[in-house]
Amino acid sequence: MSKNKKSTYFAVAVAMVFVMICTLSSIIGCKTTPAEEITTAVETEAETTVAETTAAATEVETVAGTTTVVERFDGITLNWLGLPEPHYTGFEKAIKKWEDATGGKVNYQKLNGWPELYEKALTSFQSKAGAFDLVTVSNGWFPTYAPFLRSINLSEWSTKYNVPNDFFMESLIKDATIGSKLIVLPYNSETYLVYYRQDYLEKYGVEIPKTMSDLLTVAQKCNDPDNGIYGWGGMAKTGIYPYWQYNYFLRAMGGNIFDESGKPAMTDNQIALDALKFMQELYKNADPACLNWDHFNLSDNVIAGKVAIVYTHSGWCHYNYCVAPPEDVAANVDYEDTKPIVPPQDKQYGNSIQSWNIGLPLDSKEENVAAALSLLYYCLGTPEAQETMLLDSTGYFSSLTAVTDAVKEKFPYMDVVANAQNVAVSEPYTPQYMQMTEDIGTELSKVFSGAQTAEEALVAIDKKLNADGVAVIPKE
Amino acid sequence: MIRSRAFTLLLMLPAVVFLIIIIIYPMFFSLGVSFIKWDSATIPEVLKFIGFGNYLKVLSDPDFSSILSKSLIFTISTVLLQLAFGIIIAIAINSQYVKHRNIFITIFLIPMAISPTVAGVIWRSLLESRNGLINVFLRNIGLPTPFWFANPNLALTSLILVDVWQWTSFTILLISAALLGVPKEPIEAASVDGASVFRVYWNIILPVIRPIIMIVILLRTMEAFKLFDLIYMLTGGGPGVSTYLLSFKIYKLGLNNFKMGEATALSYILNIIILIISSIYLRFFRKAIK
Repeated sequence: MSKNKKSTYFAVAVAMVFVMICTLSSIIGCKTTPAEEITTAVETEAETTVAETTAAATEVETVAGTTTVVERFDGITLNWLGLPEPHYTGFEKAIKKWEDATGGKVNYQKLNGWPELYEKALTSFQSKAGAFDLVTVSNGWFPTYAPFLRSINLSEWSTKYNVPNDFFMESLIKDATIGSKLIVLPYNSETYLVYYRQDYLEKYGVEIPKTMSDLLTVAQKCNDPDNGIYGWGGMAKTGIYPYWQYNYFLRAMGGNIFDESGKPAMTDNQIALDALKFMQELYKNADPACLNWDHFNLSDNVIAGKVAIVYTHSGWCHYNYCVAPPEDVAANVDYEDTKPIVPPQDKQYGNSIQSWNIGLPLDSKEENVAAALSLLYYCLGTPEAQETMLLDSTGYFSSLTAVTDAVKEKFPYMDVVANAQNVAVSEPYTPQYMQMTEDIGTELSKVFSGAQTAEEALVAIDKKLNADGVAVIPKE
Repeated sequence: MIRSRAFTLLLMLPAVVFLIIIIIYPMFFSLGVSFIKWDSATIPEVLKFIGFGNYLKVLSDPDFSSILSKSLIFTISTVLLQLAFGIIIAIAINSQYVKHRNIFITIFLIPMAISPTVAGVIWRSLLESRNGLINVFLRNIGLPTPFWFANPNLALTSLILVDVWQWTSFTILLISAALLGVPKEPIEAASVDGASVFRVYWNIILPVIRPIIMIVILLRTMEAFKLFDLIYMLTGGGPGVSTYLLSFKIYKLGLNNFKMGEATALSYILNIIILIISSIYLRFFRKAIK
């Protein structure tokens, strides 16, 4: 080897080692802050109170129609990481009203859907970019997101803006309270309801189900594939969807994924097995195409008259059948055909709640916090705002005050939906919520596609959850 | 001499810096991440070095062997089918009986020009089980209507067919170009000596275009292993995990479950697999050149 070549190779090797050292040190070397210090830092920052945030107020005005005094926020632009319509539609008027009243501006970033939101918010938190002043949060993400969010003391917020303490739904406040602080403000709630086609129940001569076995009977009797009608609607698309549906049955039958110590306990769990086998029986009456269905496909198929009865998200089914049925069936939709009922719960254990909320990231600009809290009042803090949100975003609300007579006229059965949402209970509180839903959903979809038995799935779920360190943690 | 060497290095500097920023640094960064426990619940300040923990975890995942075998089945099937159809169509287009060769080439190139995401949307509606055009046609002529993407035994095959539809044109393009470079004299001499058409193709044309075939195999194998967009659009990995391939699993781990450590570890495993296969191909390729 010539001397020149040797020196070139040497230089390249030195450069590579240098890059490697720089890279590794940038990943590991700078992360030497002890965990306790981080926790303390997070807690200290999270102590920001509503009173402190109002110090920047420069001018006082009165909002027409209310006696609430608000500040001016001229020159402040709030960046809101959010979801598209119908979420945004619900806030659009309130944002405009806030901008007119306070002089502030809102830059609402509409992402395509919740997976994108989850990814973008977490990336933003972890990089401490401080890019957003408000972020839309699902309740399943609370344990993961909590260290990155400011804690808001609701009592102070309520006092300042004259919001009664019981303004928001009880279930939502319980869910979003961690320790003694409410970490987010809710704007939407969803639970799970049975939606049935009244016309099919009449056609096939069956009663509205009152128990789980009634539900199976309805699915079996209404199953008429030759006429394009399936008795049951499944959503077995791999991922979170089968988890959701399984969770309804597991909870309704009084079961749980975790034991009392918070560890996964699906193996040798008789209720978990019963719930899964019950679902397998229901799936025998489902369209085979439902192996690729998510909750959107499911509600579309109910509206289209292809499914007789389903157990699904209150929000989407309601949205579709009341407001925006798929174009191809819109002309034939009779809203009276599809009705929701509180699901038959053999043990009345309580239904699962899912909610959308708004949080204030820790890393956002300090001077924007007061403006963000003021914006939240305009979007969520009054019965008028809640009613507008419900009507415009077609079913999104977080206070029972929203369900007025005008709302009930436009959305039949909204009181059934609201009452069910008000008493629903939290999802498992685990920082690995997304991993848990994926692990369980994937194994369940294997069962429904015939790749494994129910017993094998439960063993596999336990194994995966344990390998991923999924556990329920104390909510404090 | 020294000045000219220094000048050469100076000219190379922007390219080298660019290369370091966009390739070398991210490569080492991701390699570093693959040795770290980093998931959605991790605050960046408390990342923990766990050695080969992520590699061991993804390799011991009960689904790993099934995902790897499905990736191999997908890759081998698509590459072989694309090659077979590509060679047959390229020979047909380049035969003396076909006029306006360029028109045919342009038509066959259309699938390749379509974005895989758009192709996914098109095929998803075409193969929809109830109202998809293909099933409507099959129903009208009295044939059974399969659940193309909802049947666990058929979903991978459907995915293979769509990928073959889209990328056979790549093979056609390259083989057509290679056929144009085949010298006419040996073919004419063989014909005069009474060799059959098959013997001419097998003994004269195929050896000449073999290097191009090797390149097609190499490129398509690498691409097939990395396939993501079509799976995302058509099946989402389902039903069950019947269309979960390695690249889709990486996406799920990294951008769905935010397990960055495991996702990068699996990415490096995928890279190693592609490297091994590529080096085997290249050995054959060199022999073919000789």
